[in-house]
Amino acid sequence: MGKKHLLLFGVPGKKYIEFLIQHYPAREGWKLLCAESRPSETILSERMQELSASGYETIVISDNMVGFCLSKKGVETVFLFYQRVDEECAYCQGGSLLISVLAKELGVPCHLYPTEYDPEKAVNTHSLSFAGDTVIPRGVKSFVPKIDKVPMGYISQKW
Amino acid sequence: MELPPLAWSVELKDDKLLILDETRLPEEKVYSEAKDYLEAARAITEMKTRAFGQLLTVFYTFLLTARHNRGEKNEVVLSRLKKVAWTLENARPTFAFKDLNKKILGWAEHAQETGKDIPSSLETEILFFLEGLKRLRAQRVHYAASLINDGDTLLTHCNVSGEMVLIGRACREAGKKLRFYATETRPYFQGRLTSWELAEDGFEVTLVPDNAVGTLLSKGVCQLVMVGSDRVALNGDIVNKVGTFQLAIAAKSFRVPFYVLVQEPGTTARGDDIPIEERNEKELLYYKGKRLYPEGVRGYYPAFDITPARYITRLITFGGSIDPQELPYAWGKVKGAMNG
Repeated sequence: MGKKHLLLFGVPGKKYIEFLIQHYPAREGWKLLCAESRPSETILSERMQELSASGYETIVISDNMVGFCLSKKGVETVFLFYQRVDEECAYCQGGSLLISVLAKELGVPCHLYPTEYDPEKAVNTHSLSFAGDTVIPRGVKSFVPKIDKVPMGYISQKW
Repeated sequence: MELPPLAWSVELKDDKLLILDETRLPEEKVYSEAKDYLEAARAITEMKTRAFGQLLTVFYTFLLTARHNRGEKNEVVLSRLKKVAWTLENARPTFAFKDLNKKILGWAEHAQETGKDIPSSLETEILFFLEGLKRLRAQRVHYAASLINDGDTLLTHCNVSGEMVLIGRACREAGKKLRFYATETRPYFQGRLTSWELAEDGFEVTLVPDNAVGTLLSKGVCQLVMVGSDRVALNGDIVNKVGTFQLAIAAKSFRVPFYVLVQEPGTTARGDDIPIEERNEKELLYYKGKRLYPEGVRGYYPAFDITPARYITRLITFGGSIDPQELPYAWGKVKGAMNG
């Protein structure tokens, strides 16, 4: 894996592909590292198909590999996707806070882009499944944050 | 009290290894058989056994080989043991197979030099070492439990081969209430094993996606993070399941103590000197034989990461808990405590 990677966490909207083509064209060698963004990997998979069809080398990683990739794989920019934003913070899919903290600590610019995907409606806080299978063993609880408030101090640029 | 299944997941019975198949837990408790070192190495490569289970597999594989070679000349036995060592070393790149092999081959070479029979000497040494290891792990559990306060909620990642259950039991015996959060640990979901074994032992445990740790730590849900490690370098850096590094960063950012259970550091100077295994992308792209992501999308799967010592609050060794920056100086003292 060379440089010119963008790392994406969350589910981008349709307009993001147009944005990418304009600002980070595949012909210039930009590649996309897409974190699975549990538990939204199924809907993200549809977006990956569109990104791949638009000519981008699209590489999926699991969410626990973000820190490794930011520190070792020459990621130039992280993109998070927000539902809404105010002066203090952006409201993004659960898990985005971690990614913004990692980007800040590891010196990678963290950008925000709007999305129409709404985890408030799509994610169940107390149910964790994968590819249709429940992953919660008997007697175990689960917790899935739907929305993270990402402080604007972690954000380098809002689009 | 009986050990949790993952705490001692390998045994030697009727001339074959029985290795608890972690890929089938928690749905099924099945032991995979290994009749020789090749089958044992395959169980490691296929991740049927991991972490402490790998260490046990190494020792029991040499023990099995020693038994298979009873009555053979020492030169022949030593040559076969070296072949076993080479095969195990190449099963997976990150774990400290080389250091373990060096220790075991050292026992065999010493037996040869002193005119003793290698198979019987090796059997004595290995069984003595494993007994000692049980005692050392029990000590480490005690040191870990002493860092936990009554009412704490502990966040962990991956699976520490039954040791988190033992730490929970030690807290319970001391009258301390302890709750757990465990990360899923994609793509193999080792967090399912952790949460399963803790729940089986009666602990309150919550399973979360790997990306949820920032949310939990920022809200003060967990008062400490504790993980295991596959390797520790002499400068206090550790190597563990991928995701540990980012968990340590999050812990530091939100001022939550980050503790790591470690074993002997061996001879590796820095974490960056330890090779990081990259596994087949299919293990990420497929689940139960079904492709999860569109054709044309690739996967990338580094299996481990390096957590620099500066992110770690304390290393929990067999001889006590220490500041990771002190490991090069403290190790002599720790070894003294281990031998005492």
